[in-house]
Amino acid sequence: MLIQQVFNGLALGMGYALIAVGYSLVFGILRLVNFSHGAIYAFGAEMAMLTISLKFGVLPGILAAMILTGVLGIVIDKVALEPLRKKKSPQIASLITTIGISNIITNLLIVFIGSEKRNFQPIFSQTTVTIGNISISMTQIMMCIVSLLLMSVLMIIVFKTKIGLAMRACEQNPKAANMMGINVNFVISFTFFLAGISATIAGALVSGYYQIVYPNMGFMAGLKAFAAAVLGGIGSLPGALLGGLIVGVSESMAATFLGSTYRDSLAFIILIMVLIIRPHGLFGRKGITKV
Amino acid sequence: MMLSVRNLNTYYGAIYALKGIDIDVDKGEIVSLIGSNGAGKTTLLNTISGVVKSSKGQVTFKDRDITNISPYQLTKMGVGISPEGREVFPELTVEENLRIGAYIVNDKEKIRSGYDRVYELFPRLKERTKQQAGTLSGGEQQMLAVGRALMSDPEILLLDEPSLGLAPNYVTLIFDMIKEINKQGVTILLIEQNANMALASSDRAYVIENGLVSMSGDAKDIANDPRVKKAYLGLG
Ligand SMILES: Nc1ncnc2c1ncn2[C@@H]1O[C@H](COP(=O)(O)OP(=O)(O)O)[C@@H](O)[C@H]1O
Ligand SMILES: [Mg+2]
Repeated sequence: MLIQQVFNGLALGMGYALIAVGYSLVFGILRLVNFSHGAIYAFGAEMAMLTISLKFGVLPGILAAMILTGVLGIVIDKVALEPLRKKKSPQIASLITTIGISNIITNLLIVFIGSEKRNFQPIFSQTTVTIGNISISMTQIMMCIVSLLLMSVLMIIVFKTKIGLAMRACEQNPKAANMMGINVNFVISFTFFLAGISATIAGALVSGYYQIVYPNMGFMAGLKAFAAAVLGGIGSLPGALLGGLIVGVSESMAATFLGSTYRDSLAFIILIMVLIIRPHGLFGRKGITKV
Repeated sequence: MMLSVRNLNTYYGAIYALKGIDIDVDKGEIVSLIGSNGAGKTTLLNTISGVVKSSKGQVTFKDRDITNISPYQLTKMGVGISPEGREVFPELTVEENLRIGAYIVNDKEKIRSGYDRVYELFPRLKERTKQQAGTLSGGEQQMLAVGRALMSDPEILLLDEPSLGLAPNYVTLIFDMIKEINKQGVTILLIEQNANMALASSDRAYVIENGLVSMSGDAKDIANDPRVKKAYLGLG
């Protein structure tokens, strides 16, 4: 029972981790909590639903949804956030803007698609592997594999490529990066694109797992993923992964052993306890949270 | 003229920081800007590089108008900047900092020779390639800031107070390196509060006071001017 719930939680946690990286990437570069990221995740899932229904195949569908959602991230930054940066607006202005954007995206999804929960087709085979009294579905295994793969790709981009070096430079000192020939706004766009892509993959995986999709799905998931990012140390990719897994496993445990009423609160209790002991999160660096 | 500044005016909100500045830098020169704290030297450099926008006036580089350019476009034109306060990337290694300096360079061979050039000028950096820049001493960070600016192989180098806060032996070393870099063919615009060293190393100089050029000429003549001696050189 316990081990079973750990496995269920890990699969779920991978989903949270993929959403959490979006918070982390954007926070790293802008020192801004992008509260529209939960809505971007829902948008990604809805787009995946839409593109898969066009019957070009599941993979091309998800790829198209990734690009659309990545572009949405860029558009949000260009239209609403970059003008604020240009005017050197206080950070609180950007923060409330992201909350506003979140509502606008969710609202538009409801207007064009409807607010009801709809059935999302499973993306992986429905088989189940049973070892002793633990059963793991193919979906759960694939969720873990795909998430770890994406995490590795993100790590390679950030730590091994030229654009990743530019991302890290902009994160540490955007003014100096600009003086060194880096188009900081381009790097920010790229970061929003990566965040949108990751959120779409998370959206498709989690929707496929629960076989359900709806415009408001990003609200709670977004908050929990944000908690996961802070728990792991915001700005850190391994932190987002670990934070996501902790949130996923604790949610799964709480639902089983404490009852589903506690499902959404245990993760936050853990978050608060960890922050009291480690204010910068598990993998957090002092420098990055100091704004 | 390689770099010309004409009637440059800059405000920070209501603060009138540059009140119509004219300066020229010719190819191959070392030109220094001296002046006391708050005179507007950094504002001038930041306005030239587009970090701060001017309200009036013109900046031209090799006969191209670069007034209020985006800073990131300057490197491509051949301008290297070592900003005030060094501004290295603290959590990147020495090597990564230098790589960022060559961000606009795509030719691997050119990047390689950039590293070689910097490590030859500053052997201390070579011993610390994998060290995080934030853990370097102030003098080493300054070398890194100058080295990073050289990585794009600039025609002109804008240096803002490279000797600020450094131990005397580092001050001498940095000024020697600046002269060496100039000998390699790089034009230099040097902002300094250490007027003694700056004037001794330069061809020409401008004295900036309250957002205006109050004096200009050969560095030797400026150094011998009684007012400069009194105000900036601690003499007389
Ligand atoms: N970011 C800023 N905001 C407002 N005022 C500034 C800013 N930077 C500089 N100043 C003001 O502009 C004037 C010139 O400063 P600065 O160019 O830094 O002088 P210097 O480099 O010669 O010491 C000073 O009065 C300073 O207080
Ligand atoms: Mg200054």
